[in-house]
Amino acid sequence: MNANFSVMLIGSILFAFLVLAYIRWRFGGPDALSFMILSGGFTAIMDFISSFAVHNYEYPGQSPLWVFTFIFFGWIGMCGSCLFLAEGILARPDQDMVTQRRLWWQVPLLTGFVAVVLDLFIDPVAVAAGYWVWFVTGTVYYEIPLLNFVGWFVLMFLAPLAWIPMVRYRHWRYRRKGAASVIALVPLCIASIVLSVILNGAIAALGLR
Amino acid sequence: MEKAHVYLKQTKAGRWIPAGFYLVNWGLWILTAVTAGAWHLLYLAVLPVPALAIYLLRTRRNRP
Repeated sequence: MNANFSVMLIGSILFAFLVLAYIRWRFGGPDALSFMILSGGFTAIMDFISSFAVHNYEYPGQSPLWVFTFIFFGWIGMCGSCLFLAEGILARPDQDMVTQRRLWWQVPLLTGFVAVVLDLFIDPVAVAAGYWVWFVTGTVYYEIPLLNFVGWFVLMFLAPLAWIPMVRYRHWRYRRKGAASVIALVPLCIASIVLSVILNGAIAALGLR
Repeated sequence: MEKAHVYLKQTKAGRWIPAGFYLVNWGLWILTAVTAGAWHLLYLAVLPVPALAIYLLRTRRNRP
């Protein structure tokens, strides 16, 4: 194991800023701010709960501040790279996920699937490299609990699902879009808890972990 | 421009930057597997490839 947490943190911050710069270029600053709040803030809150309150896993030896910062920026990068791939796959050449109505839910759904498939590679590698440790032992896939993949799907599905409708309000400026995004965190967190409970319950009912 | 975000998606940068994000993300985890000596997990790196391949195929005809 040779986990370098400093490089990982700096890399995730740089990557997140590149993703935000792309969003600012395509959609404008207020939508980049909204994306930062909805993909970084929302996922950081939920992932932080999973790490510290429920204690499903931990980043060995890292402080709560380090963990919050890493997951905040890490999820922005992860969500951005999966979201725009999903958009490219589903959108017509002359449309995008904002203008093509059915994509409002299809792109988030595909983003969730793309992210989970990516994590089927990432998680075993990250555990082997010592970046994080699971306290819940999975029985299906490299001892990684299925609740991890449920978490990835739920977060990567719901964050774009909240952000895409926000982009439609083209005339909203920073303050209004930022405030609306912060307010949206409440129903978003509730929805993610409900969806996680349902999906994890279904998995448990099948006798899997 | 009202639909500038659609136009920008159709440009070369609009197509290749998302592919680059995904590729960098994927490549960094391959590097992590190699530096951690997790050779037995490297075969899992093929899993994220189809999504990128489908993206590149589907966005072939994007032209502003």
